[in-house]
Amino acid sequence: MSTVPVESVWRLRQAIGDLRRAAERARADEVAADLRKMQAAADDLLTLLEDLPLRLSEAKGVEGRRALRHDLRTPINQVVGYCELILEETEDRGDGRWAPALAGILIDARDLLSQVDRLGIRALVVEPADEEREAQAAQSGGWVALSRPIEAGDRGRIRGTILVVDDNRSNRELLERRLRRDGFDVLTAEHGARALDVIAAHEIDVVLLDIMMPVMNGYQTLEKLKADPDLRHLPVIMLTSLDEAESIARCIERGAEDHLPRPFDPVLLRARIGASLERKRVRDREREFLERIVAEKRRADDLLHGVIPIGVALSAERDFNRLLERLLQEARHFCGADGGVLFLQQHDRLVHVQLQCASLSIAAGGAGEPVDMPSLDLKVQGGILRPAAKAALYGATVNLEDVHDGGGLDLSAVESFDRRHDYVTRSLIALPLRAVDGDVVGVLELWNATRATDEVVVPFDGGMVDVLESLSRLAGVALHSYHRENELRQRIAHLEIRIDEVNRRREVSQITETDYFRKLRDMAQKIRDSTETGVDR
Amino acid sequence: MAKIISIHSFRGGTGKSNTTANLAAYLASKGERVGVIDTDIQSPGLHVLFALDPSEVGKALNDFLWGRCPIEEAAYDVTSRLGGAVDGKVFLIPSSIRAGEITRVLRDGYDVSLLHDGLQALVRELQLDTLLVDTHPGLNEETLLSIAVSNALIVIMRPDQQDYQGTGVTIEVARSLDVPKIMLVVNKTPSSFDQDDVRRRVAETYDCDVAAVIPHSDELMTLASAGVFIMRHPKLPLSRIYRALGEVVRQC
Repeated sequence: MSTVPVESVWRLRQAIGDLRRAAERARADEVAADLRKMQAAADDLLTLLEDLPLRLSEAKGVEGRRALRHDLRTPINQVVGYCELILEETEDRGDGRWAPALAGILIDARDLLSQVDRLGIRALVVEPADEEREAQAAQSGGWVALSRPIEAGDRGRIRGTILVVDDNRSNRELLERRLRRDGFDVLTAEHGARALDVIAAHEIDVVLLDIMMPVMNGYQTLEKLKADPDLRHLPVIMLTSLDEAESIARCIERGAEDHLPRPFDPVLLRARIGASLERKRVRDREREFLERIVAEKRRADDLLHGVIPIGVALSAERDFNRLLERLLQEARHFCGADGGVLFLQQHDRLVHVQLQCASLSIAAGGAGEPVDMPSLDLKVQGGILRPAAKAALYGATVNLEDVHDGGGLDLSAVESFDRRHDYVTRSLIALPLRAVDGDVVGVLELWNATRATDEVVVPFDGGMVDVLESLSRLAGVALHSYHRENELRQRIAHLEIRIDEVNRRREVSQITETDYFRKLRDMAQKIRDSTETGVDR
Repeated sequence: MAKIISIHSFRGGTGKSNTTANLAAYLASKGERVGVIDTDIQSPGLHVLFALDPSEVGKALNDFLWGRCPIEEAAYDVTSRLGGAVDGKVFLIPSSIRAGEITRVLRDGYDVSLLHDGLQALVRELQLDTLLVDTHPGLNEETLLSIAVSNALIVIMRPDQQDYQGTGVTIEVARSLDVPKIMLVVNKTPSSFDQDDVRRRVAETYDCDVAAVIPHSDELMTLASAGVFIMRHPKLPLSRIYRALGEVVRQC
């Protein structure tokens, strides 16, 4: 059984300390601060190594040995991580002063890591060699392009919010800094339970999840996420200090998207996050399309089973008042609108012909009580328009999600109605009713769409608007046909029996002023005189 | 006392033959002996309604008037072909196989009294209560002759056809001939019309009684062309209207 040479760690700490002092002297504060963290990590490792023989003897079973290995690797990983970060950051700034010393520290730290892995803990799988890792990375789709050296221009190309879940503060900080450098937004959590809170409150694109954590460990957190239908699709990348097949397999089985072995290779890190984000984007788009397809289908069904039969029924309705009443009723029914008004355009005015409001028990117009509201003048030039007038004049739907936003319209009539009836109009939609030739024959105005599930007033959404516009088209045609038929009926009913008296007299005289006719008349007269009352039988 | 009633329309297609056949059937159902003079045996008309094949038709009214044949040969008993049992009788008498023959009688120096005498003989021979004359459309001499000897004239018009002028002329001419009773029947009235309004307007326009306003129905027209309507469909509203019209004619 080999041991980790304490001297190597001391040398490493020494090298870090020398560099730190140099940085402090050079007033390179950021570099010095990171070197201090690296030094602290080296101190942690030294402390651990002092107790190593005792801890080795105490380590029970595979789990115990795993935990020990995890503890030993964590500070070394931090040294590697910070070292790489400083190298990248200083290189970006064109500051090459620290690179040679950092490169030496990095080589030593990696060497130390492999010594830890060579400790006689047989249950642990030796981490793959760098060449192997790169080969693995090259196989994973999507990040070949990212495997070249990081350039400033690449950063921020893949965007997203990443949640880092790790109980070790330094680990969190290191990862956060690295990810921010790569242009991601980062949130952190110190354990699984906290992570679930953060996920509930924020839009997270990828979760980087440590396995060994207090309160709620990585496996439990993963299970919770995958059991939630809303969160199931959130990609989770496991942070595996313990780079062993069994542990990775366990996470993948439970739905983890991928895993990242520590210490993090910056290229691999970005590649795996990038791939996860891409997959999420594809999945989100797929889901969005699916939802759209479902919505389209619902709309088509609504049209087929709802709107079209109603359109046909409206066209067949012979009683005009009933036609108007039904039109408003059916339109309200489709979007659960609490109330509405139906206007008919008569010359340059919109006349109220129907008024219905379920919660106020109002049903006026048609054969019943007339609607007691003044008609709207469409000729008024300038000024702001009422929603119905705008719908009529522009021949387009006016949809106010919130009446109180105004939308640059005259809502005095709505306010007055609300005041008079102690009512609150929130959402409002006005749709033009157009005949086949496109002429506006009326306007349908509906208020306060209500959600069927909880009767909460909602805006008239896209689906409702589509259905209402279809219904309005059918209704416009039905109204127009009715009018035309009615006009025809009236024209027939007003049938004028015109007789040209002059012509008639001329035609009569042409017949009566002939010898034949005179003879005929005389004979007829004689016959009548002789029989008086008819022909004897 | 027998009545001669001419049924006329200025234009064709007014339902004149149909009305005549139904009137005849109604009067027969009331026990009357009815003669129907069909002036238009050449084109489908009364004989179709009475299911009489033109090949069965030999002699005509003229042949009887000229003494060429006994009445039995010019009158065809169609009572059994009405489509139902009646107490009375219906005889179909084609006026002349050759159009215009009656008029020629006049031109050749015979006067209208000859026709009158002839018709009287017909009434007497067949012991008729009513003689219905289904006249030609328009106002030709033959039609004028029928109108001249009639006790009553029924003018049939359609409100949806522009024959108001002709109808007005017919009524005026009939008035000149002192026909004792002139009445209008408005047939094939579109169902969208207000029937009472039509009756009032037509009566006002022609200053003439309107004996019936008969609504139009495609369905009824299909049924009506297949026989005598009131016999086949006595319960339908149209039969009620025909019966009411028949009653007006009976009271003439």
